[in-house]
Amino acid sequence: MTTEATPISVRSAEEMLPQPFRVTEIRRETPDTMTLALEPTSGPGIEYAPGQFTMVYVFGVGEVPISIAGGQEGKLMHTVRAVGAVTRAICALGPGDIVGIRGPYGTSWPITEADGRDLVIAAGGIGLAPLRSTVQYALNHRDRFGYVSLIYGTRSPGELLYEDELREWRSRFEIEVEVTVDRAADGWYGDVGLVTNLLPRIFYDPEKTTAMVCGPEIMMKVVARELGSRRVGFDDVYVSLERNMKCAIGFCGHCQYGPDFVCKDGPVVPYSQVRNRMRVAEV
Amino acid sequence: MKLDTWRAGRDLLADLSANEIEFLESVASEVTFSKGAVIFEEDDVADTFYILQEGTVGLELTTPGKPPVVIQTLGSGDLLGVSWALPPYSWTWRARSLTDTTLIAFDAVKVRERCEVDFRLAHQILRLIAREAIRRLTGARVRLLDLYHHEAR
Ligand SMILES: Cc1cc2nc3c(=O)[nH]c(=O)nc-3n(C[C@H](O)[C@H](O)[C@H](O)COP(=O)(O)OP(=O)(O)OC[C@H]3O[C@@H](n4cnc5c(N)ncnc54)[C@H](O)[C@@H]3O)c2cc1C
Ligand code: FES
Repeated sequence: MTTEATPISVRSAEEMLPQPFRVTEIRRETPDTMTLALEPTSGPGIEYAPGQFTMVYVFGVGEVPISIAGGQEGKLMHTVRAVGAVTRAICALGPGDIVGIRGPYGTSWPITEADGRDLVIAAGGIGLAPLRSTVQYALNHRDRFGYVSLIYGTRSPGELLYEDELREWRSRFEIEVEVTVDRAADGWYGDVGLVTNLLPRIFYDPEKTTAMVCGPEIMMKVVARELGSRRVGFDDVYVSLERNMKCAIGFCGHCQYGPDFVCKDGPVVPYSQVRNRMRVAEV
Repeated sequence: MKLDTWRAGRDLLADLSANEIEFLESVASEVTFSKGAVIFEEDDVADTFYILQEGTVGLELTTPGKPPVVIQTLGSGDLLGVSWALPPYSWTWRARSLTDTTLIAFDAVKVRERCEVDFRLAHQILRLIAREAIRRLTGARVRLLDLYHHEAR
């Protein structure tokens, strides 16, 4: 028996078709960042792996890639910072509004491959969003890992995401949660300094550590280097890349980063794969 | 004060030989500070340095009439105090205990004296300080870029 391959144009047309999702809840995280809970208006919704992203389409405004911060049974959670036309429109949505979602796309954090290893999860700013589900996975499967630590840095205490969850994660004493800010305000009793300052505080065996790092590119580079100087191999340090996207399925080339397309070869890649490119301007 | 067990798994003192660790142990003692206590004051003579065992210490900049600004915090495993190693041997910042803290205190005068005759120790100590200073400088430079504000993520 022979099977007929689906013509590529038909496949891509299907992959490009957004599914309608309804906003069920929207919560302010920081002055410019909102978290949205979304459910499919019909159908099974979207199953994803931590680290993947969707394309979120606001009707009449445009479409942007947004990491999946959580959600179960086909539902999704996205955390969005308003920086331009589309992200501002997403942050202005209210319960009941409909958006188009396609995906999930891209590579994921190697959380299942990290069985038996120590985990260092390092987030900067809104980079905690794509890592949120890895923290939850680690908590839900705690006995599969050695030491598990989340180190998280933001600009100021008012810009921390998921404050209630951070408190809850910390209070469970199953993983180490360390938070630092660049600038302290009055009344902040926590840490001040770059996220790398937190590395001496946490326990991990460099020989059997998997690190997952997400934040601004410079932050990821500095954390990866610092982990390297502490003898964690660059093959075991994963970063999540960000480039402008259009198709998100490897056709248009908008997200090209050296020889890779971030939408399908990324966003999550081993640092060893991109280390040289991260030194070059305008890649 | 036993440093050997403490240093296992931490890279701060990893490069020091057994003899050097033994010498540092001979000039070390454990000290505690309660939350809010000043460990050293800006411009004071820097004759002790510390390694933090437990708790958090803030390096503060003080300006008259204003609450102190915490420039950086240090925690378990961090070196507290760098200015003791180079003239004029006076502290640049105030160090204050932000929680109850336990520290290993080293007699910096004795370490400086020993470094005058033991060049390997001097080399190791300066390497340790340079490494920490570079890490903190990198941290400070990256924070100056105000990354989280300018980039979406
Ligand atoms: C794989 C992936 C996952 C992402 N996940 C998230 C997420 O979970 N949450 C989230 O809020 N954002 C996320 N982003 C970034 C998001 O896609 C962009 O912020 C968005 O495309 C901007 O579109 P816009 O129309 O709102 O702004 P535009 O009108 O395109 O841009 C407005 C201004 O913002 C700047 N800008 C645009 N994109 C970025 C960016 N990525 N970083 C910094 N400045 C930018 C532009 O230079 C311009 O000055 C992700 C991006 C990628 C590639
Ligand atoms: S967005 Fe089109 S190839 Fe990646």
